[in-house]
Amino acid sequence: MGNFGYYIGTSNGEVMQFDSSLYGDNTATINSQLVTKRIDFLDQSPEMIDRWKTVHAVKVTYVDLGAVSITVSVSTDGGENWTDSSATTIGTAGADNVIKTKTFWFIKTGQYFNFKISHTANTGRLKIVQVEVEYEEAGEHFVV
Amino acid sequence: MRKRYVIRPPDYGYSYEFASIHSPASAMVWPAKNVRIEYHAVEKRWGYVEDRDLGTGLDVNNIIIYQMKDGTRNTLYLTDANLCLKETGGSNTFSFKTDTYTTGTVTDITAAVVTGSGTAWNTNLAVGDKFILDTDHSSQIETDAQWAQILTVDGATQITLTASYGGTTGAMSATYKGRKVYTTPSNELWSYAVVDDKFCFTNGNSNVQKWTGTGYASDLDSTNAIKARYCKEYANRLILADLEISGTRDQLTLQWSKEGDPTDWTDSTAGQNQFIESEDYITGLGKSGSDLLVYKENSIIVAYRTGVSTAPIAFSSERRGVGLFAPYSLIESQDTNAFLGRDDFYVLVGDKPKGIGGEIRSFFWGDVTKANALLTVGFAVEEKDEFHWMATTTTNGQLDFVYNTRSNKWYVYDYGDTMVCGGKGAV
Repeated sequence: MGNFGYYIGTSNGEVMQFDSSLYGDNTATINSQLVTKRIDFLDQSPEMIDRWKTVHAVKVTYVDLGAVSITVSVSTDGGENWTDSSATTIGTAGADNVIKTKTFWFIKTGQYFNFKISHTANTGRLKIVQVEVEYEEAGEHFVV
Repeated sequence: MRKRYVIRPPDYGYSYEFASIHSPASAMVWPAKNVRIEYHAVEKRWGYVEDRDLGTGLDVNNIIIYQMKDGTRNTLYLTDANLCLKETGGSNTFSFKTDTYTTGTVTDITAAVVTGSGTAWNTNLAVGDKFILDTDHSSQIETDAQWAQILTVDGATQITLTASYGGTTGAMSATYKGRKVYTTPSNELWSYAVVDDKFCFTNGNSNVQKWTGTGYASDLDSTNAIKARYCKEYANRLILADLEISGTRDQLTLQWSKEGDPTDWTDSTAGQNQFIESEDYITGLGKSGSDLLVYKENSIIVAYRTGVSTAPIAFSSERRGVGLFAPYSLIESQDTNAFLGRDDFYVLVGDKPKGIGGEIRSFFWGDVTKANALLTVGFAVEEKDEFHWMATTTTNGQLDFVYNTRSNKWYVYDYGDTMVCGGKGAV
């Protein structure tokens, strides 16, 4: 009897071992990002149909698994262009496993929105349990 | 008045089944990547670290654990050209177990010309094979810098290397190794099975090979087990499919060895079957439960063991409509098979294929050409309940499309290196 390890083989002769204690690709950074579907808020607020909306904030609820830097971004054109927040450190070096929140502020007006939470590093764990968007109705949609 | 829109839990994974605005609130879309769904939360995926380096620029085609009856656990690597065994302890790295010729002795090396005695190199080595003197060889710390490539085989007792030999030279009486490297066709991988404690492997181009845990690999049967593309253990026999028979490739035929002896193909209990009722070719072999599954491009043939020694396998039905489109996408795990068909990812429920790719299908086929889809490679990470399928996309490089079998969620990994295969090894 013995344990197994999981491995992947590359096109450059390397045998890599998957390791759940590692958060880099053989020291290279991993660009991990959560990107939401296109959101118009209608499923939770039907009265927002055919209305402009202004997003003011994105609150990220996470489990503190250590200090990591994340950036939150918003797009109103289906992900072609993104408005980024400043990279912000969430969590603590102590990794106390406590659920915490961090709010990122925007003023972004549109009809449809995608949100992106990204973390690019070769160390550090990230665990997101909830995303909350604060927005405001900004008038009737019209076409010029 | 300000309102709040809550995504909780953010656990839907990829969603391309609906138009984006109609997807569930917690759905993800590209370029979401390198996150996984675990216990209804989104987590950064885990990473990897280099374990062995088999040589710059070569494909690591298969990673396999070969467990023997006596408890020996071997981690094997198959590249285009070699069978390698992972070595541990001290500064050991790996050793070559590729078919190797050692008959005779070397009597002189002058520059690139090697002279031997009793070597019969003209019938046993070929251009491109590798040469090294035993005295220069650290066999468990590969790749040894003294390995030299054969430029020409000049005769029974002389070969010429591509460059001056870098190790011991001059007159001598020395033992040596001639490593008879394999050639794997472009875009193909190896297929392997363990029968009678023997590790059998084949790549559609070389004679089917066996390695017994000691020494070097060798031909299984150089007359009757030729250039098979697929192999599988079933009913304690070695099954070969899509192979060369009497000098002609036959992509519709499957053959099985004598029970308990993968080297015997002429016994009365060995046999073969041709699958000519549907015209498409065999694309793989699998096992699910007690069944043998013969995959074709557009159908799945289900076979069972009869218990009759002279007709040990019966092919009971052919399920048409869904087959194994990408041969190396086949995953055997969790007592089922999962694979990429012509239009979707499938998992077998019993012996019936069930589409599982609804949430990712349009994204996959929208960015992966049929030609690249054909080369999709699958592997399982059972510890995390994940099926992985790696494919080259048109606009986003190579991506790993991951299906979580516990949550039935899809997500996508984008690795820092170009991957060729996945597998298990001993730790």
